[in-house]
Amino acid sequence: MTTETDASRGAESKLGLFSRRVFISILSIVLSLVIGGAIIALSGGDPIDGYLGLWRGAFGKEKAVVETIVKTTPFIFAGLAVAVGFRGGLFNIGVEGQLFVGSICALIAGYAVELPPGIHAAFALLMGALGGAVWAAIPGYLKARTGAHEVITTIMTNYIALRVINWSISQNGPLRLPGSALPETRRVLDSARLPSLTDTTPPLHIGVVIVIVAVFFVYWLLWRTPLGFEIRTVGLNPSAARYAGIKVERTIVLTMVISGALAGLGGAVQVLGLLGYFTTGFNVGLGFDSIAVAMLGSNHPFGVAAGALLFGVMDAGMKTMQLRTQVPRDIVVIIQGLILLFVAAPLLIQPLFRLRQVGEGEQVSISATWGGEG
Amino acid sequence: MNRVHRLFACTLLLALVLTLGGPALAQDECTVKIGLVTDVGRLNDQSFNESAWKGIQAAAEQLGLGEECYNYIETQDTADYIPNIELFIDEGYNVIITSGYLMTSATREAGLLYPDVYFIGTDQDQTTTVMVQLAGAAEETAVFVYDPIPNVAGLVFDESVAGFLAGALAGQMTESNVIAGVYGTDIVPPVPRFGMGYEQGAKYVNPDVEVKAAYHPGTPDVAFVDAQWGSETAQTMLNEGADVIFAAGGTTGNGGLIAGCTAGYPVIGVDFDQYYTVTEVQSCIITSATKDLVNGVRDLILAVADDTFVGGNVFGPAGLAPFHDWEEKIPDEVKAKVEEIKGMIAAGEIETCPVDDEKYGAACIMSGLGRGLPDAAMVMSDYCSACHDAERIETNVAQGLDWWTTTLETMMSQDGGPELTADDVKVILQYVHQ
Repeated sequence: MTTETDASRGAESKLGLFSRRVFISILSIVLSLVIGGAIIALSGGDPIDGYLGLWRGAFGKEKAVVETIVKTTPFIFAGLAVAVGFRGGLFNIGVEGQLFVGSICALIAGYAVELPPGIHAAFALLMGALGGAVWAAIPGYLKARTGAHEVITTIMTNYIALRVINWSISQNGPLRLPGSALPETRRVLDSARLPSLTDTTPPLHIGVVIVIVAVFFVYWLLWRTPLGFEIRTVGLNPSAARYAGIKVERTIVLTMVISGALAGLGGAVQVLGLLGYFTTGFNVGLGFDSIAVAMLGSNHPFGVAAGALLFGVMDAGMKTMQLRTQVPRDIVVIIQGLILLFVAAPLLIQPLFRLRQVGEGEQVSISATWGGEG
Repeated sequence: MNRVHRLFACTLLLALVLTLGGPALAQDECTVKIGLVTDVGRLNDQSFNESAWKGIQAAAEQLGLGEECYNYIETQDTADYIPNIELFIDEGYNVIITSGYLMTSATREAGLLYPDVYFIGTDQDQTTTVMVQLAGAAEETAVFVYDPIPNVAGLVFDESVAGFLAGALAGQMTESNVIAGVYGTDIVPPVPRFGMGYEQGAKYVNPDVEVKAAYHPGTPDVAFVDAQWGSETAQTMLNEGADVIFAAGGTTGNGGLIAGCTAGYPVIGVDFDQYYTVTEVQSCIITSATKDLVNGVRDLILAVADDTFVGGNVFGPAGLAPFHDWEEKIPDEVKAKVEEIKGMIAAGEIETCPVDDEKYGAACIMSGLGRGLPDAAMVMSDYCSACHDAERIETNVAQGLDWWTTTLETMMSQDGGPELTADDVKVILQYVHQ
C-alpha cells in the first residue's frame, strides 16, 4: 500500500468513524424493532398497532412527554457513569449500587439537616454525588492497588449496598419511617425537594436541567481537559499511558470516582425529584440497563443521551402499548435485549449490511482490561 | 441478498414512520371500565396480582363486559404507582384495582384526587398512622386510626376465620391428637390471626388436641423467605408427635409443607390454593386456609355496577380451598362438621379470634370490624369526665386528627392527666374522626 492511500484511508476513517458508529446503533435499533415486530406478529398481535401504542404512550400528550423525559433522566446519569468507566478502560457494573448509595445519602441529607430551600437541595444533591463517588472509589482503589478486577468487586459492592439499604428500611431499621407498616424511609424536607416545572405526576423536576449540564460536562471533561486525556489514554492502553508518564493508578481511582459521582447524582435526583423518600422497588435495574445505554451511545455523552432517550421512550410507552393493543410489555424487554446484543456484537450485523469493520484501537472494547495488568 | 435485506429494512422503517401519524384508536363503550395496577411484580404471580385479575374477569363475565372493558398495567417501579393509576383514569377507566399492601398510600392518595373513580385495594387496611406521645413513654407510639375514604375500598380478610376452619379440619384428622402450625413472624398481625384461629378451631372440635405453634423469630424481611427454618421446625414438631402441619408464612411455610409431605403427613397451605403453587405437595395437601381474593374483588366490582359500593375496609371471604386429592379420603362427617362450623361463623355464633389472648389478642383487633376495641363511651367516661364534661368533646369533634392528637398529648402530659394506653388513644381518635 502506498502512503497516499493510507493517508486518505486514515482521513476517511476519522471522518466516517463517527457516522459509522451512529449507523451501527441505528441499524441495531431498526433490526431489533423488526425482529420485535415479527415476534409480536407471531404471537398473534399487530406490530404496527403495538409500536403505535408505544409511540403514543411516550409522546401522546403532555403528561406522557413529561414521563418520557423523567424516565430518560436517570438513564442518562447512569449511562454517563458507565461510559466514563468504559472510556477509562473500566467496566463499572457497580453503577446500580452507586445509584442506590447516592439515593440514600441524598435522602439522609434531605431530612436530617435543615437548610434554606434551594441550598438544601443543592447540598443533598452534592451528598448524593459524594456518596456514589466514595462507594465507587473502593473498587477503584482495589483495582489500582491490588489489581482486583473491577467487574468482580463492583458486583460485590452492589450486593453490599443493596443488602445494607434493605436492612436500613426494614422493620426497626434506622431509616424506616416510624410507625409505617411498609418498607419505606422518612420523607425529605420540602426544602430539599427539587422544584418542578409542571404539576404533573411524575413532576418535571429540574433534575432534567442538571442532567443536560452533566452531559456537556462529561464531554468537556473527557475531550477538553488533561484529566480526560489521561482517562482515555489509560482506557486505550494502560502500558503506553504509564510509559507516557501518566499515573495510571491515580487515573483509575479518579475514573471510578467520577463515574460513581455521576451515578450517585442520578440516584439523588431520583429521590429528591420524584418520590421524596426511598422504598423497595425504587430505581431497580437502572444501573444495569444503563450499560446497554452506554454501549448504544458508543460511550459518547451525546450518544448516551440519545440511547437513554430511546430507553426512556420504551419504558414510558410500553404501558400504553400493553393497555391499548394487548401487546405484552415483555416485547420491550426483548427489543432492549436485542439492541444490546447487536451493539455489543457488531459482527452480527456488519456482514448483513456490508459495513467495514470499525478501526482497531478506536473501538472501545469492554474486554480490554480482562487479564490486563491495569 | 443484501439488497433484499436493505429493502426490507427500509420498507419497515417507512411503514413505521407512516403509521406514527395514524388515526386515533377506536374508543369503546363499556358500562364500567376496570383497570388493574399490579405492585412491582408480574400478573401471573400465582398470588395477589393473579387473583385480582381473575376476580376482574369473573366480574366482567357476570356483567357481560367485553375484553376491551378491562385491562391491567404491570408496575415496574415504585415511583410509577400514581402515574399508572392516572394512565387508566385518562383512558376513561372508572374502577381501579390496586394490588397488595405496598400500594396502600398511593391508592388512598389517588382516591382523594379522583373522587369520581372507584378504587379497590387488595390487602390494604384503610387506616391513617398517627404518632402519639403517650405519658411517660420514651418514644412516640404509632396508632392506626381507621380512616375510610368513600370511593376507596380496602379489601381485607379476617384470617382467623380461615385458620379456624383449617384447625377444625386438622383437629378431626389427627390420630396422635397433636397438630402443628409453622408460621412467619408474629409481628405481622395476619400471621398470629391465622395461628390463633387454627388453635381455636382445633380445640373447638377436639378439646383434647395439643396444638404446637412456632413463629419465625426473624424480622418480616427474612421471616417469610426462610424455607430452611420452616422445614426444620416442621420436622421437629413431627418428631414430637404432630401428624398434621399447617404452614402459614410464604416460602418459610412452603418449607414446612414440603417437610411434612416428605415425611408422609397431611399438610395445610395458606393464602391461596397451594395445591397449585407448591406442586410438590399435591399428594398430601388436604386444603389451604385461603383469602378468597377472586370473589372479594368480583363482589366489589359488582357493588360498583349496582351502586352499592361502600368505601373503607371491606372484609372478603376467608375460608378453605378444595380438598383436591383428599376429596375421597376425608370422611363425610368431618366435612359436614367443617361446613356446620362455617355456617356458625357466618352467623356470628363462633368467635374465631380470642381478643383476650395474652400474647396475640391485639392482633384480633381489626379496623372496621370493631372486634375487641374498648367502648368509646366507656373510655370517655373513665378518663375525660374527670376533668371536663362530654359537651366539650362534642363541640370539638370537627377539629380533625392533628388537633385531637396534640390536645390528647397536652392533656396526658399534665399532672393528674389521663393515663391513656395506645388502644385508648385509638378509640378516642376513631370516635372523634367519623
